[in-house]
Amino acid sequence: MRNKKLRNKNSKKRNARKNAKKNVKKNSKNKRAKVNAKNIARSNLKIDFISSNVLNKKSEKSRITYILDIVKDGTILVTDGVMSPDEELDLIRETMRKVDDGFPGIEVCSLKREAEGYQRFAEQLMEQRYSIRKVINKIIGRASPQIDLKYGMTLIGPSRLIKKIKKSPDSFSVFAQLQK
Amino acid sequence: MVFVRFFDWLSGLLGFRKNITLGVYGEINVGKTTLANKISLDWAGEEVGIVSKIPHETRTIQKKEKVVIPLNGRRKIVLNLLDMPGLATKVDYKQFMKYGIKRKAAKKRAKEATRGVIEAIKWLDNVDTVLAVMDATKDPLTQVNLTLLGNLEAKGIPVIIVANKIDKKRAKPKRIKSAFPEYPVIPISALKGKNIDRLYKAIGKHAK
Repeated sequence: MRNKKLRNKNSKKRNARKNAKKNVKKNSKNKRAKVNAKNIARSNLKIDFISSNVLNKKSEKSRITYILDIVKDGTILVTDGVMSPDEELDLIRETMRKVDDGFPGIEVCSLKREAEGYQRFAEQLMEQRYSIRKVINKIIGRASPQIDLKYGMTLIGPSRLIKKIKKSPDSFSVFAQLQK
Repeated sequence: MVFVRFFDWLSGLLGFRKNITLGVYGEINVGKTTLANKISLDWAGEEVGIVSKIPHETRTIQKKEKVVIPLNGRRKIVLNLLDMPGLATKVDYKQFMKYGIKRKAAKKRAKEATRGVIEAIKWLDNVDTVLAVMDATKDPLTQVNLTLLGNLEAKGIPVIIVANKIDKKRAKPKRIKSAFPEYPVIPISALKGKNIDRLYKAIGKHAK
């Protein structure tokens, strides 16, 4: 009887310790994220240059989540690729879902390099294939298929930092302001 | 009733009548509701929604059904007019507080605005023709405009760009024309009704 009671006591203690550890981890993660966001927003400007290869490996949904996680942390993301118009709309839609008191949204700007000749034909073919696969996947209840970013450049940043983007057909200027 | 329906069907078949769902899209505060009100007042005698200087005044889709615009001869076009919430990549509740709205109400408005944007995007699949409204006093090369036009092109939806607010001194509708040379651009003032006939003609010509 005594042994049983002791065992129960010990297991309760162990569980309590585990839970406490978990909570500490969670809290410290949240705190770290908050501190990072504050530091970035207040004093430093962090710009991540990410290869389109990284984004191309992800599905459309996880690509958008990945981008928004980075931007929500207060980082400006630059990549050597351009999303499809359809994906850009998905990015806006997903951003709207994530808008809260601390995250009012994003600023996006992209420069698309017009493909010529064979490349243009291949791009159009890929787009057609993608839209057909997307419809089929929607019907059979599968996730959206993967599609590579197009040639060009995209900048996505938190609207708290980026105050204005001035765009011309071949270039753009970004005006950012750090919060004091 | 049956006779009216049969007549409607027959006139549609003969090309005298076109039924279309017309979506009024654009960024915030470009005059979408003012334009929708003007179209609806001219041909249905009623306004569609409330106009305000505060951004995101239209946060739900405003509909006006059976707006009939007569075209040349016997032809007419029947519009299912949809005034959409403004598209945006950001909604900051603090922006509303500058207009004297209290924090709690501003937060509520921001939440409704985000829902409105999502709803407007969702409805892109259900419109036949789009009036892409742009403010002629501002730079038209924004990502929202480019994304909107890119999507409509990919979906094969006819677009008429409306360069609004030409009654203002700073208006430069030519800037919109040169930015989007591949689209029909109609410079108008929805508020004053300037050039509005040109827009109706363009709707009759380009709407599918």
